Amino acid sequence: MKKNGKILEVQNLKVYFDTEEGIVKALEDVSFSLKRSEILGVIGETGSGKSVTAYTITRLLPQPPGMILEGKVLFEGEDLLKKSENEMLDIRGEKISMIFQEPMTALNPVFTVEEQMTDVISYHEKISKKQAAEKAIRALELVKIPDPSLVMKKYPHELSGGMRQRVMIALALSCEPELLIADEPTTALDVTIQAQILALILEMREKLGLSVIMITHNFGIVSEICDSVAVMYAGNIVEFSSIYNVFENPLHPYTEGLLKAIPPLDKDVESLNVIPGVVPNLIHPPSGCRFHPRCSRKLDICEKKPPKLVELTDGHFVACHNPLGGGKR
Amino acid sequence: MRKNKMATLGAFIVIAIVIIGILAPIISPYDPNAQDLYNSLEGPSLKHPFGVDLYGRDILSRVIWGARISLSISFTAVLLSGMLGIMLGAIAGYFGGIIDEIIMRIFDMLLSFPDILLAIAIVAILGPGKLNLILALTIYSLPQFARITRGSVISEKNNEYVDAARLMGENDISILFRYILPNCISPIIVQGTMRMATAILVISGLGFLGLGIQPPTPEWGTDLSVARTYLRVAPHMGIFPGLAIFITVMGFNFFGDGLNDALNPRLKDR
Amino acid sequence: MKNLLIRRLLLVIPILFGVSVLSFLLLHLIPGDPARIIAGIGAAPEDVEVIRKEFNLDAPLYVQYISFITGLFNGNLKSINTQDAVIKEIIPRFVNTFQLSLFSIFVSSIIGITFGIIAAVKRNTWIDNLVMGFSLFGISMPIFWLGILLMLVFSLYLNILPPGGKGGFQHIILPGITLGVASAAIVARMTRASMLQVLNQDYIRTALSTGLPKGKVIVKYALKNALIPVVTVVGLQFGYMLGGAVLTESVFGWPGLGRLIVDSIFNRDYPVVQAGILLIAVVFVLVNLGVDLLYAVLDPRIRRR
Repeated sequence: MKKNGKILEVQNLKVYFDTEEGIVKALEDVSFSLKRSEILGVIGETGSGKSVTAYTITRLLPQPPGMILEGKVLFEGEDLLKKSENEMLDIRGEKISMIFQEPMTALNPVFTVEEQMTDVISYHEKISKKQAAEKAIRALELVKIPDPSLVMKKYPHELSGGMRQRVMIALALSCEPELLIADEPTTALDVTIQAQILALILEMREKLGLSVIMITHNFGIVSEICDSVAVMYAGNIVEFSSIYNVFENPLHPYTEGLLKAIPPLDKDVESLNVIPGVVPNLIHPPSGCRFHPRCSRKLDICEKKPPKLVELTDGHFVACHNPLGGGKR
Repeated sequence: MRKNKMATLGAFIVIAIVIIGILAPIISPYDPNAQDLYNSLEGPSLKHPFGVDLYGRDILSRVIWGARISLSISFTAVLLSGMLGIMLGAIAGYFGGIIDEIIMRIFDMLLSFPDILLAIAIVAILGPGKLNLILALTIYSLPQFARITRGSVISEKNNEYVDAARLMGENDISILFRYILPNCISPIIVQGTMRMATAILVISGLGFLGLGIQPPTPEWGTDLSVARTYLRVAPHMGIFPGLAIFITVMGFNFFGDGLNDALNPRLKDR
Repeated sequence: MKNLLIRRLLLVIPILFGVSVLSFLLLHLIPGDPARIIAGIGAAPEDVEVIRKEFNLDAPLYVQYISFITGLFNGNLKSINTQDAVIKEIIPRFVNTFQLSLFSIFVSSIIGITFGIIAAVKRNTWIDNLVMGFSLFGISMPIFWLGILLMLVFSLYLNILPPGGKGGFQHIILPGITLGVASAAIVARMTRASMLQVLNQDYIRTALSTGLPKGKVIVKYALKNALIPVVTVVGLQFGYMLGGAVLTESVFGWPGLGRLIVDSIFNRDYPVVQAGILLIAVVFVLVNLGVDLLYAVLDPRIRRR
């Protein structure tokens, strides 16, 4: 069951949205995998399909308008896309948890922390509210919340942003899931709090052996905590490999562009290198490779044929007709 | 899509009823007050499609003339209260301070009489009759217009174009009426349409209580209150005038709803 | 919470005062001599003088106002018709109106909220369209016509419910439904709008991501948030019912305060009219106050301020 030690394998996902303006081709042939206790960064601009991927994995994608047309999501060898809604209830929160960008709005404003946590814990573990409360306090301690029994009685608006995100993480981890999907968990927080939350996620991986999918648009975060990274562009995975490979040896022109766009500390911000052009409209995506209108290495074939994601060197996947030469080819 | 259809249907109903009201003297098959005691309480027939009432009066003709009465009274009252309410609301919103406080507190008090009770109280003072009814309805609708206008004036008055007008030496009155109010007009129009629906309900409600238009003038609510007594023998008397009220009110509500969506695109998905 | 309570109470006091002044002035706003109006058109001059004395109509207005208010409480304000203390006349009738409104708001809230939730959850399906269509019907329905139709069907044709009067439980069903239909429609629309907004909130997504079943998420996590604005609407509707019940009471011969007021207008029994209108307005203001406070209890974000 745990072949190759992979906890999650996403294969050829194809997800469309049926909207009033037309069919949005949100995900096309998305594949990647995640090893146990690994932290995978999924990086891309807004609208690249990062979050859609996350919601497809947990089957929280609103359908309609969303349509999962093809693909598999193998979690511990079982295809989540074939599970019934009832079976998914035993997976969400228990085996796969999520945390979100806005800790401000992600917690219910009219229930106390205790109510929200014990509801989930007692539902999954079939224990009394009192036992669940004890467990909730342990989860709050785990995420280093001072005075957890006091915080339990608070409403979300009475906590700071950083605290709310800690509570969110405690809620997500309260039933000891194996996989945590973090959807830009630090974007809404200021820099110091952001560093604390990232450190906390790393620590949880060490302590609990948690696997993490970290969705972000910030390569800085990827470099700090991820083991591997999948780069998404316009609904495709364009590059996927270990963090070392991607940073030292980017193969896709888009990845290279993103890496160059990280503001280096020693340079003026004005010399920031930005990829020209805009993210394409996914109702009428560009033909062939979706990146070709913005690509500096475009060939004729790029307009005609979408490139497949192939393993170019050992463990280094790229979807490009004309990958960068950097290294052993 | 669905909303648009409803708005069109509403507009169609409203226009149809207005035409019926205007053309009442021509299209009404009988004199609404012509009595025919031999045929008292007869049900619908080819000669009288809606039947006749206790005095043998043709109910169809009374319903047609009723449209004329209801629409003319409600339109006059909504127009009057609209003009007064807009003026008071605009002054309260634009000048703020103590003027605003006084005007709005008075309206708060008027709004403390729930639903039709305010109209009843006013009619209790003035006595029944057409003019008094118009006055009662005008006062009844006044606070709503004032509130809506005040709200939009307050949100408009801090715009740059107001400052620009002031710099050009325009005085307050001209700024308020020539620059600000034209930009507040759409919620007021929607409110006006909705108030027409309410006014028709109140007119017929007061009529039903015997406090509105007095018999023998054909008025839907008054006719219904008579019908109640003869429901067992002449149920048709209780159906057609009510149907007329219902359809008219629905027309204005649909129309207002659709207008609201058309004029405030932001609210579309709500 | 305490501050909020005090602030709201302070706001209510001038309104209550104003409402009582308005009700008192009712008689004095009528063109002509109040004594003559009470006595009636054909009354002899001596009778008019008696009335003038009895009602103290020569005294300055503020004195009359004070004696109106105190008379209301100590029973000195008497009905012209029955010579009973006004307060004794209006309270039992008000209790009847209150009963009817309470039953009505209870039924219409349950129906309105249930169908509002269903419409929101099944948004843009035929169920949603049906519920919204019915609610537009309900809003446009003249209350007394609905009463007549219900009476026709259930009392005259089917003969299963009494056509009017007050008695056992079956007497309240028809008037209760009549009075409640418009409110049910308004509550359903409000619940739907509010629920739709809440269902799009991040915390609903969070709750679903923790593996709680959708039904539980809707009934517990979404509903409590969605109901906060609905509570306001229900409260307001209840207040409106107190005033609007007069039409229903007239259709079904329900012995409520609204009908007493209308009857007293015909009998020119002004003390009863004034006191009745004042009572309903005061209760309406207090209901609104209660709704404001309830809102604060339900929404912890307001409570702690």
